[in-house]
Amino acid sequence: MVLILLTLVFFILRILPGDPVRVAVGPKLPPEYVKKICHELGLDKPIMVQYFDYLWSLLHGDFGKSLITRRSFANELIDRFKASVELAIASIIVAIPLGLFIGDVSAKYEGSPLAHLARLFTVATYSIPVFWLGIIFQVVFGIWLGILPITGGPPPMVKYSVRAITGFTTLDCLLNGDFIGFAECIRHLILPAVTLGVVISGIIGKVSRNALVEVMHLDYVTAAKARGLPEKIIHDKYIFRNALIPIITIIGLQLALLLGGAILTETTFDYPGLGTYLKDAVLSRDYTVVQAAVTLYAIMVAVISFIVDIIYAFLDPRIRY
Amino acid sequence: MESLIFFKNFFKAFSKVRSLEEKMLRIGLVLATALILIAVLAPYIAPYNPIEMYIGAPYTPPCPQHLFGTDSMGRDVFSRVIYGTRSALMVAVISAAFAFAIGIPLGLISGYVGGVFDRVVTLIMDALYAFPSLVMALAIAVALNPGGSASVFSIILNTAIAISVVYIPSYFRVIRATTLSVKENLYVEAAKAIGAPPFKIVLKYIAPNAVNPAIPIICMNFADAILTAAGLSFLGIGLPPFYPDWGVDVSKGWKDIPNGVWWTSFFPGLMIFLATLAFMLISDALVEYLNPRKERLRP
Repeated sequence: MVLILLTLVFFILRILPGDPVRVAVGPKLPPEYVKKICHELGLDKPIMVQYFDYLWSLLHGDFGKSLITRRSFANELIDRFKASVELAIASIIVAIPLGLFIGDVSAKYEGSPLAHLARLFTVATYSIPVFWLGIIFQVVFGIWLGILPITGGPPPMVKYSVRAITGFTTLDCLLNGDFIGFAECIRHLILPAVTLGVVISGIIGKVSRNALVEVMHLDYVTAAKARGLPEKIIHDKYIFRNALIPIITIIGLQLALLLGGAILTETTFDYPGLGTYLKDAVLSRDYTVVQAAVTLYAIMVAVISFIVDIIYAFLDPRIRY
Repeated sequence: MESLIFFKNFFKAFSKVRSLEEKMLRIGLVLATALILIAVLAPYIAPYNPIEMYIGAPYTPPCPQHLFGTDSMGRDVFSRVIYGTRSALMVAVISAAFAFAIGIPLGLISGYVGGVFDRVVTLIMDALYAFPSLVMALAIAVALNPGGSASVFSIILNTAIAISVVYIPSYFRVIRATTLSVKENLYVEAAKAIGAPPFKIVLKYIAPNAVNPAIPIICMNFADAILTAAGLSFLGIGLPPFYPDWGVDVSKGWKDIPNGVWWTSFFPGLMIFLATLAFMLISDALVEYLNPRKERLRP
């Protein structure tokens, strides 16, 4: 799976028109110089040789050099990735309870106005442009109420003053006992995390509703009701547990997407994550950086689906590997 | 036969009985029709020329002369929003047409032929499907739009192609899955027995019975296309800054936010939301209609 994604990206980026080096160094440079850079970066080799070179260096943990700066960018990439992880975790913390609540309400009270409202919420969150929602939050909470900062990400003052232990600024503040810095980091995380969380909660809500409704009409639930079991036990043990598999799947997928960088949200909040990094790389056609970011994404997807598979086995004793 | 039932249910939306799905379908259809009318009649609805500068003082808040206010160049935001409907719907229609025209035949053939061809195509489609759609669209759109003096229409076309590539796997998966079950039917076997060529079997016997599930996907494709196109222009890829487009306008208006100017980004964003919502509502309602299990669950 990872290999297919990598191969796809490699060839798509190379087959598409446009000369990356020309774009990177500007159109006015003499051709000899362009040739020299191509040679330096190994871009004048046949495409298959380039492909295997690329895979080989990846195996060594070498992401290659940026086409623009012609320097190694691994540190920058990892730094951005850690920022994205912080945002991803914060938004999934918002999304899961909200999404499960929405799904539960619309399944439990099927046909009532409350359930309809929950349904409409899921459709609306799917349709809302995430950058617009972010802007609304910025206007309302940042400018009108003035209680939250409109930019995301740890403020530079905190980021560079705190001693780096893990590289996750929020966590570092806590480990260093810097509670003011920690509060400042959290304050900067709230708006982007809520924006993303609301959008994702719609998808989680929709999937969990469908899963719950499906299980609710199964025979053993009717049987449990007939035996007079309390509503709460039926709901928690009979329905919810059996509906968890699709819910966990969608949460895993969304988390993987988030870890790959939420481009639009990060752009709206000027958040220094993988998404904005990837956007800049795509815009400047820095192919090696795009490849590296996508590689990271592919690995994330693989790791998370592996974790999800393990969780399946815990949830459902019938699943054995 | 399935399409007959589908149309019967479709028209039931206009009879007296109204469930949530029917209401959603109605609202969606009304919104979508309104959007199409706005796009077609834009010159008659918009009070000003959308690209003419200094029609009013820059940053005029919403007022009777300028319903949605004016932007940094003194252009009328309302007129720009009205004209923006055109590029949004254009991208949606073109991308849906492309994705439909490629995804459905591919799904039919792959499902019918099976074997190695099916395996390879499915593998590629799965990889495309797992890829974050915005990143994919971003990369393709950047590569197709080398910048410089491309015409507005070619930029719209390229954006639409980028989005359709992202959407082909959705059609492919659904159509392939239904083709696999439809081709087991007796009438397909009968057609084979009387010696109908494979081409004819796929076109006349399988396709009419397999394309129904694609209908909600078209609407979702429409909605996603509008949203993705807006996202791309928000990131600064595609249409030039003067062109009236919702995504472009939001990205420009977004820079005015710290000065307390909210109307230059709010209204274009609202239109993106409403346009996407229209097609999402239709799609969501249709999914419920076409869900065979639903009939059984209903009392």
